[in-house]
Amino acid sequence: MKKNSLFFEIGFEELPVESNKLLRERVFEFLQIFPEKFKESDFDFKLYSTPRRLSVFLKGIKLESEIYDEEVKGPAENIIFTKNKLTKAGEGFLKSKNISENNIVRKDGFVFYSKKSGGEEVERTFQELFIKCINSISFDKTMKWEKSGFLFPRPIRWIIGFVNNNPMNFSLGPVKNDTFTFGNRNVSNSKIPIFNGYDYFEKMNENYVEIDFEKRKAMMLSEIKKAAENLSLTLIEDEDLLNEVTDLVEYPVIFYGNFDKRFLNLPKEIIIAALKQHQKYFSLKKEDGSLSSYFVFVSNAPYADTEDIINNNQRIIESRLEDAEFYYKNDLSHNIKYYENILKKTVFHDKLGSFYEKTQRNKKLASFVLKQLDMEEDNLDLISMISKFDIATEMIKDGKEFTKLQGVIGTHYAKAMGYKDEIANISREHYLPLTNEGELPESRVGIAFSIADKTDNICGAYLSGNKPTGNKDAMSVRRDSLSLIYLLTQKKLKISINEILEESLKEYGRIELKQEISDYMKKRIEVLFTSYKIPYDVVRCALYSEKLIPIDILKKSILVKEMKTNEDFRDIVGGLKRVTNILKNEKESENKRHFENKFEFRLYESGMNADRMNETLLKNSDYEAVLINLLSIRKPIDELFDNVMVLDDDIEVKERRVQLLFFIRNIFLKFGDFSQIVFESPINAEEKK
Amino acid sequence: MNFQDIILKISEYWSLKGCSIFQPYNSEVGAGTFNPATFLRVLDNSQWNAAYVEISKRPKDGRYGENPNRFQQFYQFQVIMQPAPNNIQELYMKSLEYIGIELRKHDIRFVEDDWESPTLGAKGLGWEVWLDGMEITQFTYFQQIGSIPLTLIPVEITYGLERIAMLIQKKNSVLEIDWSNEKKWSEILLESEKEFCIFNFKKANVEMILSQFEKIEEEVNRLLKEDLVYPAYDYVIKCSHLFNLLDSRGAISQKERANYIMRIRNLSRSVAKKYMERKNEKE
Repeated sequence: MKKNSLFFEIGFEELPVESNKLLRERVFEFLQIFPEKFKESDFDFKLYSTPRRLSVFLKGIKLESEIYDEEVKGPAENIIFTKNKLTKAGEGFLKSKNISENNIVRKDGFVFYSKKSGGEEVERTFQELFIKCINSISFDKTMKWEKSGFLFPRPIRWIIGFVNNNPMNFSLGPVKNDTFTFGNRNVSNSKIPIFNGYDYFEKMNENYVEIDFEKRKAMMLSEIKKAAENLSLTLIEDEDLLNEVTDLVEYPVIFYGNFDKRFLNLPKEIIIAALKQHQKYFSLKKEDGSLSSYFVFVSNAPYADTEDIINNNQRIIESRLEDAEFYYKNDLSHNIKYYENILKKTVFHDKLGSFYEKTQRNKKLASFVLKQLDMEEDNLDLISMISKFDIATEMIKDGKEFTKLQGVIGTHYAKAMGYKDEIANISREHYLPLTNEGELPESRVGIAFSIADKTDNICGAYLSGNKPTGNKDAMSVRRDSLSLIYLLTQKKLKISINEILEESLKEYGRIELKQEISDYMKKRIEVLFTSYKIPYDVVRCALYSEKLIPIDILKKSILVKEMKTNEDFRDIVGGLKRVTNILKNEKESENKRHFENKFEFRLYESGMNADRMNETLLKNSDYEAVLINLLSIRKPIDELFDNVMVLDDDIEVKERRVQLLFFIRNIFLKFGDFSQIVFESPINAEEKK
Repeated sequence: MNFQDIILKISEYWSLKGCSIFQPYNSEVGAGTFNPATFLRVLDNSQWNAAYVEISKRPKDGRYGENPNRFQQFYQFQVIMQPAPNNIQELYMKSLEYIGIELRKHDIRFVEDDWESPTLGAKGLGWEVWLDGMEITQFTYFQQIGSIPLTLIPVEITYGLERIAMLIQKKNSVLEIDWSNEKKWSEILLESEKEFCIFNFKKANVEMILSQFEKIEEEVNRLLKEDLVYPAYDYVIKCSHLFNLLDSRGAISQKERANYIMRIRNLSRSVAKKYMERKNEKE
C-alpha cells in the first residue's frame, strides 16, 4: 500500500531574511508537534524554504484519526432520575444526546454515557493548526497589501496543497488554494501546474528552484570553495553571510570578480565590510593569509550571458571601495584634536550630552575601575579620546556599511596616526565583549574602559527615561548588562557592580536610581547564570550580597549547586527555613549574649566559631571552606529545635532565643540567602519559576 | 538606448498598463513621493494609477560633479498604483525588458529595504531591486502617508534613471551618459550641477532661508484654515526643501535636526488630515 501524504506550499514575494528564518523555525516546531493521532508508525515530515516559498511534505499520515468510544460525564444523577425513574429533564437529556436509558451508567452521583470520538480529517486539522501557527508568529514587521488587512511580512501570492492527489480546500488570509506554483523568477514567470507532492519536487527541479535550505547552502559552499580553489585562494569563512545568502537565492550560481589591487592598501576590515555588508560578497585570502582582490558572489539562476553580470558587480564594488578610499584619506588628514572638537558638537543623546561629555564620564569611571584593580595609567585623557574619536570620522558617519566598524576604524586610524598599539587598540577593545559570549578585551586599560562605557550606557538609559521594559529596550541595556556581567566573570574581576553604579550615578547626581538598576542587574545575573545550567534557586541564594560581585556570585553558585546533594546541607537549609519562618514576625535588636540553656549556648558557640573562622576565608574568597564551616552549625541548630520551644510563653526567654536565631541567620547571610534553596524535582522547580 | 529614449519607453510601458502619465512637479522635491500625484492622491484610498518623471533634489548629496555617482540632482521615474496589482513584481520585471534589459543576461533581485520619509510621515515595506548587484529601483508598499494609515494599499516603484542608463549604456559615470544621440549628460547639466553645489554648500543665504522657513510654516496653517489644501501642501514641499538647504549649509545642529523634521511632519500631517476631512464631507 502506498503511504498517504500531505503536501503544502505557500508562495510569497521575497521575504526578509530574518522573517523567513523565524517562519521556518516556527513551522518546524508546528510540524514536530503534529498530533500523534494522524501519524502512522513510519510518519516523517520535511520542511523546505526559499526566499519565495515555504513548503512541507508529510508522509505516513492517517487521513482520518481513529474512531473510539469516549466516556462523557453528564448531569447529576438526581436531575436525570427520581427513584430510579427518568425525570422530564432526563428524557430531554437522552433525546438531545440521541441515546437510550441502557446507554447510561450511574457513577459517583453523576450519569455517564459513551460517545463515538475521533474521525477528524487530517486536512482540516492541518489547516487549522497551520493557520494558528502563522497567526502566532510575531514577525518584526508586517504589512497589509489588500483589502482584508491580513498581516504578513510580504504579500502572499499563492497557496497550493494536496492530500495524495486531491487538492486541498484552503485559504490563508485573502489567498485561496490553487493548483499551480511558480518557478525561479529569473528563469520564467509562467504558472506551473502541480498534480501532487511528488510532481512538485520534479517540477521545482526543472524550474531552477532548490527548495531545501540545507542543500542549497551546501551546494553554494562547495561551489564557492571550488571557485576559490581554481584561483589558488581560500575562502574566508563566514557562517552568517552564508546563511543570509542562502535566504536570498533559490538556485545559487557562483561567479567571481576582481577589483583594482590599489584598494588592497585599505585596512582589510574595511574591504571585507564593503564586500559583505551591502553587496553580500565573499572574501578570499591568499596562502600567506592576506586578502585577495578576488571575491566571490552568488547569483540566483544560470544566466544566458555572464559577462555583464561580472562587469557590473565589479564596477559596483569598485565604486564602494572608492568611497571608502576617499573617506580613509580624508579622515587621516586630521589629528585627534580636530576630532575632539567635533565630538564636542556631536550629540550622544539629547539628555546625556555630547560624545565628548561621554568620553569624560567614561574616563572618570575607568580610572575608578583601574584603582580597584591596583593599576595606574597616566594617559587617560588621550586614551578616552582615542576610544571614541572615530565616531566623528566620515567613514563611520557615512551611516552605511562602514558604520558597523566603529572601534575597528578607530584602532586603524590611531595606529596610522602613530600611536602605540596598546593605546590604539583601546578603540576596538572598549566595545568588547559585544555580547555575552563574544571576544573579550585583552589589556587592563581596555577592560576598564569597557566596564566604564557599558556602565555609563546602562545608567544613562535609566536617567534619560529609556529603561528597559518587557518589549522595549531602545538603548540596549539588556545587551550591555549581560556583556558587562560576562566580562567581569570571565576576567575574574573582583569588582562590585553596586560600587560602579554608584560611582557612575554620582557623576550624574542621580544616586537614587541605584537600587532599581541594581535590581535589574541581579535579574540579568540570574538569566546569564541559569543559562550555564545553574538552577535559579542556587543563583538567588548567592545573589544575596551587598556589593554584587559577579565572579563571587558565580563561584558561590557553583559550590551550592554541588552541595545540594549533600545530606547535611539539605538539613541545614531545612533548619534555616524554619529560622526564617520564625523570624518573619520578629524584630532584630541588640544581641543579648547570656544563655541559660545548654542548647542555646552550644548553638551560640558553634556560630561564633564558624563566624570567626569565616572572616578571613570570606576575604580570600575561599567559599568552599566557608560553606564547610557553616555546615558545622547544623547539629546545634537541630538540637535546639528538638529540645526547646523558641517562641516560649515567657517573653524574656522568647526574646533571648529569637535574638540568638537572628545572630545565627546573619552568619549564614554573609555567604548567601539559604532560604531561597528549593528541594524539588527539577521539573517542578522550573515550572514554579 | 539613450537617456531620453529610456524615459519615453518607460512612460509608454506604464501608459500601456493603464497609468496616467504625469509630469515632474513645479516645486523642488527630494523624491517623487512629494508630488501631489502621490502624496495627496493615495489618501483617496481609491483606484489611482499614475507614472511620471520626477526631478529629485538632494542638496547634501552633491559632490561638484567630481564623483561619478553622487549628484545633488537626479532623475527618478515614479509609478504609483493603487491598489497594488497582484502581479506587480512581474509587471515591473517586464518594464525592464521593455527598456532593453535582457532578463536572461542579468541577475535581478528583490532585497529587503523598507522605505520611510520622516518629513512626509510616509512608511512602507518593500525592497530595493538589484540588477547585477546595483540598486536600480526602490519598491514600496505604502502603509501610511501623512502619518495616516492607508486602507487601500498602493505600491510605489521608483526607478533611478541615471543608474539604469549607466547599465544599459555601459558607462562608468553619470557624466558620460548619452542624453540624446547628440548630447551627453555632462554637456547639459554639469555646469548647473557645479553651481548648485556651490550654492547648496556655501552660498545659500542661511538667514533668509531660516526666516522663510518660519513664515512658510505659519502660512501652511493659515491656508489650511482657509480650506486651501493644495496651496498649503505646496508650502509644505517648500519647507522641506528649505530644510534640506539649511542642512547642506551645515546650519542645523544635530539636535535641531530632529526638531525641524518633526515640524515638517506635523505640517504634512495637518495637510493630510484636512484633505481627508474634506473628502469625507463630500461623500
